[in-house]
Amino acid sequence: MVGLGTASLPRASTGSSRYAQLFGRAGSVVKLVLPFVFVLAIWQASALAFGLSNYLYPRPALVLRTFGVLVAHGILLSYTETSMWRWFVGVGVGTAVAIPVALAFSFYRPLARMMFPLINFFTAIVELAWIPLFVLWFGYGFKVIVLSIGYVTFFPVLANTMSGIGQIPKVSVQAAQTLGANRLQVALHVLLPGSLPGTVTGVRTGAGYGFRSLIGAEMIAAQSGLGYMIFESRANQLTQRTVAGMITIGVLWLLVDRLYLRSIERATVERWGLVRKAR
Amino acid sequence: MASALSGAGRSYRHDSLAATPDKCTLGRVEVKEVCHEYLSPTDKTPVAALGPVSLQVSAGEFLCLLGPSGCGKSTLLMIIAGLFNPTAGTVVVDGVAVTGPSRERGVVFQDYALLPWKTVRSNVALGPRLAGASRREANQVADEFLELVGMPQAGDRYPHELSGGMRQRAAVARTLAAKPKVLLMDEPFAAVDAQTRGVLQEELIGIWARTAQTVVFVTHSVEEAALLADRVVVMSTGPGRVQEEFPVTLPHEDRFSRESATRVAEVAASLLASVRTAQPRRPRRGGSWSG
Ligand SMILES: Nc1ncnc2c1ncn2[C@@H]1O[C@H](COP(=O)(O)OP(=O)(O)OP(=O)(O)O)[C@@H](O)[C@H]1O
Ligand SMILES: [Mg+2]
Repeated sequence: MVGLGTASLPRASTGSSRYAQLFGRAGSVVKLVLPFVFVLAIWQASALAFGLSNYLYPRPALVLRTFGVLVAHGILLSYTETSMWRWFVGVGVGTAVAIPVALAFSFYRPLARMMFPLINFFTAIVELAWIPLFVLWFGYGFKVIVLSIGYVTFFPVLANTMSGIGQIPKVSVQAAQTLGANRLQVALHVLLPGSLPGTVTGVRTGAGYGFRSLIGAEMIAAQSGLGYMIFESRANQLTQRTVAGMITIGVLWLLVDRLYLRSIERATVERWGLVRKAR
Repeated sequence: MASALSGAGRSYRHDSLAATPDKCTLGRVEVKEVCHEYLSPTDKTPVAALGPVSLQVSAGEFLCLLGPSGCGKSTLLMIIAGLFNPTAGTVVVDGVAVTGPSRERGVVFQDYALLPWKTVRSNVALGPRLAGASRREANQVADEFLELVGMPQAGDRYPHELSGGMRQRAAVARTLAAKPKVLLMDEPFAAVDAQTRGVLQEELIGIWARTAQTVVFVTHSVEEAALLADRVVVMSTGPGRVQEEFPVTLPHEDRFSRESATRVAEVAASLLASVRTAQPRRPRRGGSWSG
């Protein structure tokens, strides 16, 4: 599975160019920002070239001012907070359910084989399709959104944790067993940490799916949050807010992926020398 | 033989290690007509790797297994550990048939099998932890055994940061720290330098003399077998069987002294002759006897 954000970030440290060495941190910032400046330039140029109205095609300057307004009214911060909290809980719920299921599946292989078609079946049903039912059961708001984020997080975490467990050398399990580990202790001391490279990949992927699901769910089933703002602003003739919301989402993801998810990986998997060469 | 050593007057650096379990008469291993077949990875047909092998190891005995590469020594060890089910035959320890792995039978794996996500200290502390010791106690035991294998500073490092020889010593420390009744060691000193190996061999004999653990020790070195064993079993290949057994009667406390070097060498020479016939074709890889 390919993560949403995993491939999208240029990693300054891996650059083989002399650029990064020459300019150090400044150089890596330039490399990070440059593609965005490029997109911004195209945006501005196309707006001028086609002469579309700000309603149809909001200009960068207007969007920038809109950011100012949204921040001044406290809307942006409060919606961002709301959305991020929903996302965080959703990813947490999905992960918390997926890991024990993965462990159970790896202990009872026949169960896993039996369940795979079912898992596959549900993977195919996009979480947006569930939202009408979720709303029926739980009403609008937090629960529905968390549920749909948890739903999309569950599958990649399950699949990647299972494959992580599959890559644990048999002898690691055997070593623990001859030291006196029972099943639970094998799970705790071997399977859980050993599958972490997979789980981290799964959580990163799932967090990406969840992030997209968040916006989708908020468009349908919420009265607050960034997705709500993106969707409702158009109806209120405030397309610049829609664009501001889109940009916010993208920037948030960059921050989350770089500051948070990457550092989890660094603190564990890389420290143990478990990083997969293929990545 | 263990009691003969207790008054030998050799000093051990690690007094607190005297807290290892009391000498006991447990740890008798009987291997009865054991055969093992692997499924060939290509066409899934069974390939005989071992047996039938019958062996008896009395409680507290130090048994060395010698034999050409691929004769099934590791396989036999795994079967005694309860990690593989033999295709035929049984292993009985203290009158009870082995059905699975247990802390009673500790293994030093040929490829170390340290857990990469635990520090060296946590790896060594795992046995005591699983046996119910507190984290503090377990870490203390771990540090003692790390010192014993000559790497007191490596506790905070991760296995991938160690050299092969250091990993192997950590693996030995981990198995010893779990204090099993039966120690199954698969070429435990193969990757360490000759100097360190000498020290480790002596330490191992020291521990063994105090704990009276039963040891099954796989080695490629006839020197090592002659230095350590009460009895040496030479295996032949294709599929692995017991070819010959040699009791080694030299007193353990003398074997490391310079004076007895020639007598140890004589034992090694006769073992070598036996191993040669166990390996019909090409000569063994060079240097493996340099011990
Ligand atoms: N997982 C496996 N699948 C198939 N064949 C195997 C497997 N493990 C071992 N064998 C075969 O079984 C035989 C015995 O292997 P084993 O590892 O027990 O030998 P060994 O005596 O320990 O050798 P060495 O001294 O090189 O460690 C070998 O011929 C080997 O090719
Ligand atoms: Mg072997």
